[in-house]
Amino acid sequence: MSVPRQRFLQDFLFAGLVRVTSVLIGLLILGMFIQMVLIVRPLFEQPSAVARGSSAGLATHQTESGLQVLDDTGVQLAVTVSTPITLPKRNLQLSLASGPEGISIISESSSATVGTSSRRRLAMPGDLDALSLVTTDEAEQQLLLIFNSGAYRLIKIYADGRLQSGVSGSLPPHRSVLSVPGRQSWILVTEDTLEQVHLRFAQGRGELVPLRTLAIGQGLRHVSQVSPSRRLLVTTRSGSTQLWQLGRPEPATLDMLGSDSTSANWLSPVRFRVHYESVPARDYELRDGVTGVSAARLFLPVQHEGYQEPGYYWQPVAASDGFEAKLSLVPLLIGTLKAALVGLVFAIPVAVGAAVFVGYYLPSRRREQIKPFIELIASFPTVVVAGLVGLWLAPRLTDSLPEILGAVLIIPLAMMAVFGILHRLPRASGRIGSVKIRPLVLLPALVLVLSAGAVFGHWAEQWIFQGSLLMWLPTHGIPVQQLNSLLVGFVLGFAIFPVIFSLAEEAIYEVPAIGATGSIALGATPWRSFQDVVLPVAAPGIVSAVMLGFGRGVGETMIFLLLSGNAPGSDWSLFSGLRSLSATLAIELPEAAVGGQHFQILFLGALLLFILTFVINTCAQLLRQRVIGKGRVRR
Amino acid sequence: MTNPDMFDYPDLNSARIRDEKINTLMTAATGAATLLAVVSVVAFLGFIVLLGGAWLAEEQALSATVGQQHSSNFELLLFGGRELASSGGVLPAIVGTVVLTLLMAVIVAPLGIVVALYLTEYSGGGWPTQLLRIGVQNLAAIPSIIYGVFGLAFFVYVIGGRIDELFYASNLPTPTFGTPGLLWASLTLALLTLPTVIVATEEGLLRIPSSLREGSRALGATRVETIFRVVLPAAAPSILTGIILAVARAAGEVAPLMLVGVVRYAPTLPVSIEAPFLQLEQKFMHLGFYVYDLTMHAPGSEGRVGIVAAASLLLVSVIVSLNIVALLLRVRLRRTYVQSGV
Repeated sequence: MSVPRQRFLQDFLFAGLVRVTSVLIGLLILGMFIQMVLIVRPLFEQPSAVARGSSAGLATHQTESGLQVLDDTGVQLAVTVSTPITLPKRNLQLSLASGPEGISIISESSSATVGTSSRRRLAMPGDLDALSLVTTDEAEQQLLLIFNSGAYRLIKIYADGRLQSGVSGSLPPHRSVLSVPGRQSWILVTEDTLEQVHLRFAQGRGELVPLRTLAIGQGLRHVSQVSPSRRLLVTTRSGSTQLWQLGRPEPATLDMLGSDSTSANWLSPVRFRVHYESVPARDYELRDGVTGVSAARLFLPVQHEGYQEPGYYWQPVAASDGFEAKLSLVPLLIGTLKAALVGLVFAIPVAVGAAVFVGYYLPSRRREQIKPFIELIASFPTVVVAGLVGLWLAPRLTDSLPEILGAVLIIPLAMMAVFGILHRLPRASGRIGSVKIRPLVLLPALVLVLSAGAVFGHWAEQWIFQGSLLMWLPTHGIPVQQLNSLLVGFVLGFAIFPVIFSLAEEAIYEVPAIGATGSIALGATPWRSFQDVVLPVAAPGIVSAVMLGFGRGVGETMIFLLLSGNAPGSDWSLFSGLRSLSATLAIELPEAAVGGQHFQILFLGALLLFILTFVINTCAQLLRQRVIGKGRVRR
Repeated sequence: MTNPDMFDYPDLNSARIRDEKINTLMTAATGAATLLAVVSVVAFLGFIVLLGGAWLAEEQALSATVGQQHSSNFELLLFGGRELASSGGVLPAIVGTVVLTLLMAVIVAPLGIVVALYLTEYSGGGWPTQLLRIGVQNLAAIPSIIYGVFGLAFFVYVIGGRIDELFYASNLPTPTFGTPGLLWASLTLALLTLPTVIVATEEGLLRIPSSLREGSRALGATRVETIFRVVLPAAAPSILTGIILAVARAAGEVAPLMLVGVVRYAPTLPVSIEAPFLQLEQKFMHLGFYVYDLTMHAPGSEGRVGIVAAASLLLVSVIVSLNIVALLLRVRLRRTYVQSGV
């Protein structure tokens, strides 16, 4: 028709381009979420194995009847020690021998620099043949002897090679002992179950105590362990095969292996061979997803090997191979929320107060000058704020902590005092209300009040806290660190207050002025009409502003990185440091092996953060839409 | 007959007096809060300017070190020296920041404009549009570190890994694009600043009276002609505002970059005067990360305050001036529309 073909085509193509691009952007946003879920999912998957062909040639190779233990952790020592045990960390050699008194332990220390060697001997009752395990703890400070009867004995090793007989006790009788990597925990193989015990230190003395019993269920037939991982293959009397990941409360039953297996042995950390009663042995390979992670391990207190009590610990990468990874996300969540809440406490009074003044009391012309100025802070890079505070302010802040606390605490007191004075004044002074409060009057008053608070804080420090708050707190069980939650919260408050201010002010300003002016014309004071007319409409908007500020605080990274000390702790103390989810991501993700357990858990942390902010944001948006709707109705 | 109470409210008077006192108190309290806010902003700005400026103006006392002759601290900051832990100086970091944000702007501008065009000009307002709108709104509230995580997992490992397999298979054990770098960092930042551009552009598009569009269509222009000849030129200032705000935001963002390609020290710049001019796969230095690094790894922290403040001053002055330009643009824009009476 009148539109030439080329122009029509152009129009059509551009429309298509716009639609396709928008859909792609939408998919990308959705993809962000889906991708995280996909990466995290294998964490919670049940492990499974794939067959790697049958090994017919080995089918005749029958395992010995009864219980067989394959054990090969590097520190496991032969039961009757003919070769000496070397302790590289302590420059010592230990050897065991049968003596007239029972067992003799001989320590030989050699000093390469001096060229001397010394030899010491400790005798103790017992039978060398009845020993089922001889090993040391991780720090090589104790020698551990476990006998078949269940008796055990700890021997302290001094730096000079001196040996001292220490704690002894008894454990359940067992057939043999498996070492768990990390040398803090061992597994006793008894008639029909596996019992994990660990070395726990109480008041400087180590003792061996049961940690948990692996609930095998139907009786134990065979167990195999692979080094240096923490996995056990357990064959039960009923013929089923279980895969145990130490630390995980229940096993994964590998159903695809059939139900008449007699034993399963590791060939490599991911390959194993299963022998059957009726069919030839077969080889299998584990698929991904054997991580030993469960929701309970991430969010509930966990009893770790060598730890006094169950607790929340974040130490996702083991110090050396085979150590137990501590994967509780609770310390990170607590750290994040703690700092964000402290930040809110600092930010809300200033932000909402300023929002009321700028959005309600100030004339529009002044509002347009002040608002962009305060909002300028929101565009500041937080790294700059955190950097300067960390270098310059933090050391000073710690020194003058009582003064600052005093200044903060005195504000409500001052307000009450002002109100009390006004209340007692005769009626004639009631007209103060109509006097314009000018910055010139307010500034000195503010300075006066804050410095009075500082003096008060200083005074309180002298009299109540015996001269130094920083000395007083630790003696009363509250450790103080220089980079503490209070500091993080304070700076976080500074970073998020413009966000809250901007949105809350918007919510107050959007309320049509007609209601307030009408109420003032009828004789109400400005504050009365704010409280009764404006606030009910603006309140959801203000709450939503606070929520968005909270969301901003939770996701902030640089302030946490530079000012929180980054030590994961699960207490709510204001004077200790913290580690946030965001900082953990920034620190650990670049170093985590792609696709590994650590990588996946970090993604789980990111997903949690994502969901947290998403929920906060959606609630806030819904609230905001309500307030906008209401405002329109009133108009 | 008449109840005397009806006319004599002793309580009303005292209530009024009480109200007036509360009003005074609250005015003073909210005023004090505003004052505190303004003072803290002024104090912080002043702090950076004074501390950074003082350090820059200071005569250099350490220039006796052999081979490190700098006439001023300003030169020391730019070109680096033995006195700084990261020996590179701030100049490559400035270049890195500029290249990164420019690349980001080039990516985000067309995408943001196109999505805004879709939302205002093309979409019928059905559920896909609503979904997209909610998505964009939420995008603005996602913590920046999450963008870094996404950028690392998706851009670097998925897309970058695939590019390596397809085009750089010969180098393969060593990744080319499958490792954090400039391209992925700018893509991540583009995603981060996308909502800023979309919202600003949409605002501008909505402000254009539909009579303009209708007039153009009535004269026989196609939709795309209307958009390019009428709508976009009229919305140009808002689009520009959006892009400036996006650049200002991106220039100060550090957390996501730590995952997608910023390094403490890069031996070469990502730009060169020879072809191919721009090394998209290279890692780069960044001013914000420079500040972070100096703060984090400062052995004698007190001595670092000056240089950190000076580097911060550079970064902040760029960001603040960008924001002021955007603000002025917006104010002017509003005034134009108010004057033209639409």
